[in-house]
Amino acid sequence: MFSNMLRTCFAGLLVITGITALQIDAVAEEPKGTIKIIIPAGPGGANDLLARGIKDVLVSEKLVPNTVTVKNRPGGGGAVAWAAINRHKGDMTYLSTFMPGILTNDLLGASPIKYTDMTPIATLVFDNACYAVNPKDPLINSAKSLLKALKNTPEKIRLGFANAAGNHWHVAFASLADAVGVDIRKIPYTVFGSGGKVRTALLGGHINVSSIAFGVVSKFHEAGKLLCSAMATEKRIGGRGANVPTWKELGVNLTYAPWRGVLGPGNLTAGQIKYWEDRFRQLTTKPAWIKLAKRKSWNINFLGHKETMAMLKSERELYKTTLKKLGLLK
Amino acid sequence: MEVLSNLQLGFAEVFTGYNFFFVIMGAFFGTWIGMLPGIGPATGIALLLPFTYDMDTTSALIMLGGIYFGAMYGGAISSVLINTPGDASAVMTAIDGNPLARKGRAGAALFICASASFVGGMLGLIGLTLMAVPLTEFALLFGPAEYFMMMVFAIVATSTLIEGSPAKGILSGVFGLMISTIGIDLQSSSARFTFGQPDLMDGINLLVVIIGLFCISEAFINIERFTTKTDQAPMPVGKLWITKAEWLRSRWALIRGAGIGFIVGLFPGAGGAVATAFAYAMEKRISPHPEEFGKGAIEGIAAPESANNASVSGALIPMLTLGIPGSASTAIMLGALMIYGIEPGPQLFQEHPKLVWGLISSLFVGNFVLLILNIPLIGLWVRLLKIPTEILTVIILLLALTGSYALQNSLADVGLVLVFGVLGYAMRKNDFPTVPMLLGVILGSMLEQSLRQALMLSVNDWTIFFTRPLCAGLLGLSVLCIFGPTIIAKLRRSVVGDPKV
Repeated sequence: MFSNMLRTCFAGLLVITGITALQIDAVAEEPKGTIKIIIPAGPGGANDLLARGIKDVLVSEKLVPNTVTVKNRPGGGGAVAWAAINRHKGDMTYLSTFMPGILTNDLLGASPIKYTDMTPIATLVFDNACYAVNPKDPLINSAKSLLKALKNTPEKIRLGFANAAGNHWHVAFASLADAVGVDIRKIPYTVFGSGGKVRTALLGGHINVSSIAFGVVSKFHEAGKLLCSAMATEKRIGGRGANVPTWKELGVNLTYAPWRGVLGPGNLTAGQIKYWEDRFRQLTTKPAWIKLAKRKSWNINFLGHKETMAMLKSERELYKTTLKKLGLLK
Repeated sequence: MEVLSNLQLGFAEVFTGYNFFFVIMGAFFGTWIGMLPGIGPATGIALLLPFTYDMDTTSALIMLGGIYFGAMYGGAISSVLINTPGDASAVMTAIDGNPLARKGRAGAALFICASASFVGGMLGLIGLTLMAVPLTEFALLFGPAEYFMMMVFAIVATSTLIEGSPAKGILSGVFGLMISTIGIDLQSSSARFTFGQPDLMDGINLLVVIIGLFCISEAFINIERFTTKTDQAPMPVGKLWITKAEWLRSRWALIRGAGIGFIVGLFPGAGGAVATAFAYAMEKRISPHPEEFGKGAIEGIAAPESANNASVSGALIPMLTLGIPGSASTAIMLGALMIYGIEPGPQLFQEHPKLVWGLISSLFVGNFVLLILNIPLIGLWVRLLKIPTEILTVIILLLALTGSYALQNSLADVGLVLVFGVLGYAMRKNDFPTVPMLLGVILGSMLEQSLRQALMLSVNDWTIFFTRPLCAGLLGLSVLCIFGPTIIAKLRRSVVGDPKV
C-alpha cells in the first residue's frame, strides 16, 4: 500500500520532470524550404553586410541544409522589412536583422512594430561607432575641426546617417553633441536608406559628417578618401582603425556601441527558437565568422534568446532616458 | 593600364563556371525575342527575369545583357525578311532592308545588318569601357538635389521625346509616380494607398508592372492582330555576301551610325528608336545618291543597325554610374540589380568590380557569339520565323503568368499583372506611351527620397534646385524638352512662314 503510493508518486514525479525537461529543452524544429533573410536597409550598409555575412557562413559552414536567399527591404528605419516578415507569423524560414533602431522607432512612435511583436533570436555583434568626415571638406576635416564646428557653427554641420531619424546613429551623434554641450536639434541632418548611400554622399561632399559603423567606411578610411576622425569605443580597435583615436583620448567623455542581432517573425515556438539559437551559437564560433567579423570590424558578442530579450528590455529604458535627455523625445 | 586589368578581370568572370553558357543563352533568346513582332529587349528581359532569381547575380546579369544585345540583332531579321520590325528600333532597318530583300538580295541585307550590329556594338562597348570609370568620379558630384533633378529630367525627357503626344507621355509618367507611392512610406513608415490590403503593404512589385504593361498587353495586341493580319512568308535568303562597292559605300556609315547611337544612348529617354531615326536621316542627307534611300540603299541599313547596337552601351552608362535608367531595357536591368540587392551608383565599380566588368566583358563576347549566330546560322532564324504567332503568343502568356506567380508565390501578383496588362493594352490603343509610366514606377521612391533629403540638407530652402549649377542645368534641359519643340516650330513659322498659308 505505502510502496504503491510511493511508486505512484515516483512515477508522477518522473512524468513531471519529463514534461519540464521537455519544456526547458524543447525539441528543435527544423525549417522547411528556402530560408529568406530580409535586410531592414538598402545595400551597402551595416545591416546589409551583417545579413549577407550570415548567409555566407550559414551556407559555407553547412549550418543549414536549405537554400538561403537575402533581399533588401529598406524603409522606415527597418519597419518595412520587419512588417514584411511579420506577415508570416510562426514561419521560421523568415529572418531579419535588428539593431537599436527597433527600440527607438517604437519609442518615437515612428513605427507600429515593437521588438515584442517579433521573435528576437540572438544578439551577434557590437558595432564600432565611427565619426566619419571628408578630408577635403573645408569646414570639417578632422576630429578637431568637428569639435570646433559643433561648438561654434553647429548650423553649418550637415549630418547624414542611416536609416531613420532618432535611431542609434542619430543618438550616436547627439551623444557627441551633448558631451560638448550642444543641442542636437540645432544640427541639420538627413536620413539615407543605407550606410552605403551615406558614404557616397560624404565622398561627394554633400554632407560633411556621419556617425556610421566603422566596417562600412574602413576601406575608404584606409585609402584616405574618407577619414574616420574618432571612435566612440573604450579602446583603439586595431586593424584598419589602429590610427583612429577614441573620443576619450581626445578628452570627450563618450562611449557608444550599437548592437546587432537576428530575429524572426512573431509567434515562433520554443522549438523553432531553439533551432535558430543553436545554429547562431555555432555560427559565432566558426573561424569563417571570426575572420569575417575582423574584416568587417564587428565585435562578436553572442547572447541567446533569453539574454537578448532581457538586454532589449533594459536597453529600451536606457534609450528612453537618452532620447528624452537629448530632446529627441518629448 | 587600369582598363586592361579591369577587362582581364571581366573576361575571367565570363569564362568562369556556366557564365559563358549564359552568354550564349542570352544571345540566342535575345535574337529570337527581338525577331518577334512587337516584342523588344525590354519585354524579353522582363519575361525571363523571374526565372533568374535563384541564379548567381553575375550570371543573371550577363544573361540579361545578352538578351538586350541579341534583341538588337534579332529585330533586323524580321524587318528584312517579312517587313515587320521586331521592335521600335528596327523600324528604320525595314525601310531599305526589305526592298533590298525584294530584289532577291536578302542575304546581302542580312549580312550588312549583322556586320553593322557587330561594328556598332563593338565601338559602343569600347566607349563604355573607356568612359565608365572617369564618369563615376563625375557622378560623385550628384548629391540628393542633383539626383532629384536628374530623375525629373529622365522622366520628362522620356515622356516628351517618345513618339506621340508629349502631354500623354507626361500623364503616363505621372501615373507611374503615383503607382510608386503605394505601400509603406520610406520616411515615416506609415502605409499609403493600401486600402487596408496586406498585399499592397510592400508596394507594387516592379516586375508585376513590367510584365503586365509590356508582356500581357503585347499578347493582347497579338491576339487582336490574328483577325486582321495577312501572313507574309519570309523571303529566300540567297547568298550571304555584299559586293566590294557596297562595302565601300557603307563603311563610314557604320562608324557614323555607331557614334550617333552611342551619344544618343547616353541621354535618358532617347534610346534605340531615336538613335536609329537620327542615324538614318543623317545618312540620307549626306549621301551623294539620296534617291536610292527607301529602295534598298545599303547605307540606309548599315547606319541605323550600327546606331541601334551602339546605343545599348551608351544607355548602360547612366544606369551603371548614376543608377538612373534612360530606357525601358536599362530600367528593367536596374530593377534587376535592385532585386539582387546591388546598389547601382558611383560605388558600383568599386564595390562589385567582378559584376560590372563581367557584364561589360560578356557583351564583348556576346557580340562575337551573335555574329556567328547571325551569319553562318541565319538559316535557323528563318525557320524560327515560320512558327505561327498564335503559338508564340500562348507561350508568352504562359511565361508571363507563371513568372509573375514565381516572383513571391502570390496569386495577388498574378491578378495585378492582369490589371496592368489590361491597362497597358488600353494605353497603347489610345496612344499613351507605356515607357514613361514604367520609369515613373521605377524612379518614384528614389525621386521622393532625394527630394526630401535635399530639402532636409538645405533646411527647407527650395532655391537649391535653381542655384546649384548641375541642378539648374538639368532643370533647363527638362524645360527645354517640354517647350523646345513648340518654340522651334514657332520660330520656323515666323522665319519661313506658316506652311498652311
